Amino acid sequence: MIEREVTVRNRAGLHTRPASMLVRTASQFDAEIFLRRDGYEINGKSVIGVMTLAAEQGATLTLLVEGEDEEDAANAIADLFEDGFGEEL
Amino acid sequence: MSSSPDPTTSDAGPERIIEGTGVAPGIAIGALYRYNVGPPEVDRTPIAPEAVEDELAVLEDALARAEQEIEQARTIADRILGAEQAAIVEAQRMMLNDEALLGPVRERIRTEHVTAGQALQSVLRGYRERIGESEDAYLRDRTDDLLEVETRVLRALERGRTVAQIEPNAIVVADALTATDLIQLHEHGLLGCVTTGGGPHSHVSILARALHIPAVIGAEERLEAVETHDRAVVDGQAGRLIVHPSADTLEDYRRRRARQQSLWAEQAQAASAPAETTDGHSLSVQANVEFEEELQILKEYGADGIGLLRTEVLFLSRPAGAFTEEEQVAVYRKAARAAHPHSATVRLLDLGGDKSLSQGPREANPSLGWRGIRLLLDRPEELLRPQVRALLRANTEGALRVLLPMVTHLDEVRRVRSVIQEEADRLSREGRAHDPTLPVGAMVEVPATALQARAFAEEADFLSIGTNDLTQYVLAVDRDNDRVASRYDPLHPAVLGLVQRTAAAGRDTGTPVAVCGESAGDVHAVPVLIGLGVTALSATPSHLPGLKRLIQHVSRAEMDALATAACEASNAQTVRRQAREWIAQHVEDAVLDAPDVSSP
Repeated sequence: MIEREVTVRNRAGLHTRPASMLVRTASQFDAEIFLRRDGYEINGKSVIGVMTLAAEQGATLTLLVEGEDEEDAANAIADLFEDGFGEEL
Repeated sequence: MSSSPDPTTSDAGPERIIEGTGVAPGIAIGALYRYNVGPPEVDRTPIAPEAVEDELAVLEDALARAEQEIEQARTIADRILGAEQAAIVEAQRMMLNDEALLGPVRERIRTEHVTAGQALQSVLRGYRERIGESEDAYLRDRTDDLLEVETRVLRALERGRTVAQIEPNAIVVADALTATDLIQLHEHGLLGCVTTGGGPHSHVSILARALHIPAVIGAEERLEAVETHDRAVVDGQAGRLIVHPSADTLEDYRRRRARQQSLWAEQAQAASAPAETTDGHSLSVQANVEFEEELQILKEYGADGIGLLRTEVLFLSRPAGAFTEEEQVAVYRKAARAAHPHSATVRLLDLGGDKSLSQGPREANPSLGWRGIRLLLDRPEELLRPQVRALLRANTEGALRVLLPMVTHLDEVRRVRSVIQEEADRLSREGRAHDPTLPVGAMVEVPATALQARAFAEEADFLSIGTNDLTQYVLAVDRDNDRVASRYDPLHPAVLGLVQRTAAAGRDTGTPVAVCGESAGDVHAVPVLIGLGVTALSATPSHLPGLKRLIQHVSRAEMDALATAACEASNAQTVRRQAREWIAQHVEDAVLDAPDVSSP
């Protein structure tokens, strides 16, 4: 089980497009992936779930990953956040 | 609703004209049926406990319809022009398969015995409220994306319930229609359709033209003002819906309808007969196909098989990587069956140039860059091998042929042949059904290929001249560039010289030579091309009846004379003039009096 903090860096926040990127990436791994914000936890493989986080720029989320490929999965997702989902920071 | 498709009186209100854009010609006279106009309605009647399974099935059906509708929304333009738009459409697709949505919806249907629509609406409303609480205005607006999904599914639910209720022989008015709707309504005897949304190049418009269903899109006025049962006329040429037509209007449109129908009947007759000239020379008139829906209408256009199945839209209209080998097998099988007893020619993916995948570096000069067979051979594992395997497997269903885009070097044909051999061997080892007899053809669109035509004719099983690109490369003109576009003409003598050279190479080696560019559907170009010696033409399905009718009325000897003169002309304008004069001299006006032919 990996637990780490990720921060939304892109200006527009975790809107529809980044949410679908995140889910596409998450779905490539077998590991279970969750994101938590202020006690509200959602499945990282659900685009609606990710959207309901309504995470704006600067929001900090807890990423929880568990499974055989958890290391790779956590890195891939953290990279997306770090890279601002390829959007303007 | 009146059971008569042809009301004799206008019974209510003054005549009203609603203007739009005509996308499929023809006249329809009948009674209106309003189909999903305005926001969808949700059925709030509780369902019986024993109806739960049925309601779950209704939900699945609606989700499948909604997903199909989303697929159709993904045009190439979306993909290339708006990556953002494409991503949102893809997100909507993901939402339709999202357990965070489907789980609670199914649960509510099972335990609360509400309809699928009500369950969906209440679950999505909960999510929308949560997003709506955000302090970030942009994120708050994302509730629109959820609302759009909701509307799509609710509409799909309505459709599933209403198509069967629509009375036969109606003129349907709707906000929007999908290709599936149109096909289902057509089976219900649809007379015509009018929508507020839609584009002239949408699948629906193409299908409406193909099925001879008069259609108007972009109706300016809100169609909410019209009622089911209103008597009306659709003029698919002028792009007009006339509600409560006066007696005079009706009379006028009845005459026009009769004329249109007799023209279609003559075309249909021409289409069902072989394309044989008056001096007994046979040509193969084949269809260019881009959308799966077009496969269903080849027979009524009298297509001698498929001369060009483009695969770019099939790939680009799906999310990256989603057009898997299995999905390809299904589409190519369908194509093989649709072309039967003739062959179906599938062109390998022609990416690059004006059709780029969203990834990959932008090229300074894409037309001369990494495109077509070059790209496929450089990265065979990703696209080439799966496509070849799918073709070999689907080939058991009919007679497929494979066409290579952008061929420049003889070696490229040989390398594809070895890939075909390797994949056929692999399929044998895997014990999978396939048919290794897959003729290989080369597109002649690069001048080098036309100049080496003799060698290519010996190497390939058939040749297909792509006049669009060949003209662009020979004349060094980008026809999408307004400043030079007027210098582009496939009837330029230099282009015709290469066509002649290619046709001669085909004749000497017994290799069929087709033309599959737009000029194959241009009435002025066709007699020249046939005179130059091409043996097949492949054009948009709706052009085929007109082409056959033209060919049936002229002789090969006359076309040979025209072609000889054209090759000796000094410029394209002269050839155009010769072709016009030739047509005026040899072809009666009535033969060409077909809107589908004169406007390629």
